[in-house]
Amino acid sequence: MSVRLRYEEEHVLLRDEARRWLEGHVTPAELRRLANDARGDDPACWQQLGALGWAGLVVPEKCGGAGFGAVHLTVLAEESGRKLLPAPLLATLLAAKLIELAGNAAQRERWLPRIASGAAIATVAHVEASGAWGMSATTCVLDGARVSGAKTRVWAALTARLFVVPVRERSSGALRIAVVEASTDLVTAEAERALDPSRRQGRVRFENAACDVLAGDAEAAWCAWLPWAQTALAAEMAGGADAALAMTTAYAQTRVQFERPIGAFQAIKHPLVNVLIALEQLRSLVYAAASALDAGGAEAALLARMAKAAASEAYPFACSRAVQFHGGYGFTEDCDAHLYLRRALASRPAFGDAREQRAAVASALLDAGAELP
Amino acid sequence: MRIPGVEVRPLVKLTGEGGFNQVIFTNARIPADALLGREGQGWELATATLSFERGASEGSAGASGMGGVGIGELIGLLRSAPPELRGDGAVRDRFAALAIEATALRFNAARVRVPGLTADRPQALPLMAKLTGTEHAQRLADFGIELSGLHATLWHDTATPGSGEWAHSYFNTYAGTIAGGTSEILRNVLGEKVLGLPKSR
Repeated sequence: MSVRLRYEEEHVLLRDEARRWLEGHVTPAELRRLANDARGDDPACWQQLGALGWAGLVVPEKCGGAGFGAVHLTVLAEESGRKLLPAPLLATLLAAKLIELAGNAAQRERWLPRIASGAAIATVAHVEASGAWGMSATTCVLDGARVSGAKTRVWAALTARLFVVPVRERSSGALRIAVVEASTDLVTAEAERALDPSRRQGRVRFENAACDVLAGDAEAAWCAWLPWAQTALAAEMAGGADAALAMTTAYAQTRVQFERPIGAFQAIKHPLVNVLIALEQLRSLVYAAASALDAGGAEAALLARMAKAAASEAYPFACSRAVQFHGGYGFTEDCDAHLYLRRALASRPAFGDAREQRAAVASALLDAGAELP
Repeated sequence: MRIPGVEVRPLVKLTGEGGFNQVIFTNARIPADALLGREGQGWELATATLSFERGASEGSAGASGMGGVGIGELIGLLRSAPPELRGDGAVRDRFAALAIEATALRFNAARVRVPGLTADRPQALPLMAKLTGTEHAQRLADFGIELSGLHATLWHDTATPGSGEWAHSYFNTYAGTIAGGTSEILRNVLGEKVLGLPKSR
């Protein structure tokens, strides 16, 4: 095993700062208010995230960001997932990363500072109406410097200023990645009614919309980017699973039935321990993947897939036990367990569900002769 | 062990192997200076010894180095298996789940040594190491048996080299899940010491 887990004082500081800020600003009441709100996120909150430097966390310093790496991203994602942060932070962080990987220096300087400052919410629009999500499945067409086509299930579709879109060049058939500004009427976004009100999404249509075609090798950039997306989302899911476990454990310690707290019963205790076990394995994989990404190791892609597979199992499991063990109360909207369950189920398939990840892991180990990380 | 009143009766494991014994003490007299610690301190000493075995002491990843044992052999088995087995989606899915778990357990062992990454629940990884490693080994060996199809009906049959190896390994995994704190007891311990849930009694 060549991957060394990196976690230094700087990561602890970010974790503590993020945890404190989120604890104070994302209250259950605020979550509920925004769940029922048309827009779904708070512009004032987004401004604060920009001021904290979080929107630009992984944007290079010379483009106005903090210049941090994958472990920092993982830390922030985990804390934001713990509180179900109803803001397009992950979408923006990942969009910035894709621009950085696919663009040339001039393009990075053109787009990244606006993102880093919080001025522009950004999102990668990659899911097709069919549900196919890989880059090569794109049906968006690039004609010269104009994009036509549609994408669905786009995170923050209605609030994003920038869309980063995999497209296919009509003349050559080559895959490219394009940045499209939302400001023209050639780009229309329509809200989708989503399972998870804390992460808004929509359909986006491009009608000959002007774009900036990122100069780098699109397929190479996408392949380098995907582990970032999978790892960051897996980290966010780990935070949420932890919160679901904590809320259920607290309930099991206080809810008394049959003359004792229900957590005394092994039928409650043992499954919660199983949730803990799944969560700890998930966190180990997440931090291994993040450390590998920062070290530039070849194992990063495989570890990211493993982390996402683990997250896709552990988070829904944790939330399922949260609802179940809150009993009758868990079945009502009043209990917060279902908010986490919705986030878990909506996150489960993103960037590849567990089945898809396991298939890729099997291919790597059995067909491609990869080493176990 | 040779004083009067001490009788050793060998036990046979479910694998047919020896190694364990019953020791029966009948009025066996020992000198007063053979006492370890104080009189009445037996439970304390026994549980202290157990904590080393179970790996709950600080920084330890536990007694089982079993996270990696077996997965290498499984990879080898499948890489050289016939295409109908190696290409089967259900087989690949289950294999991948075991490979992911093996990797996670190895990184659990590494993460124990990184304090910042265990700050929220510092006891969790040491207390679950033996439990998770032994259950993983059991699931893995069981899968190995399944993959060997009808060879699984054999037990070290000389005409079929390798027959019974996975079953032998699988039988022995019960030593892991029963000894040193059964999986069920360890789940109680984790629930109580890490999650803070009340005791069951």
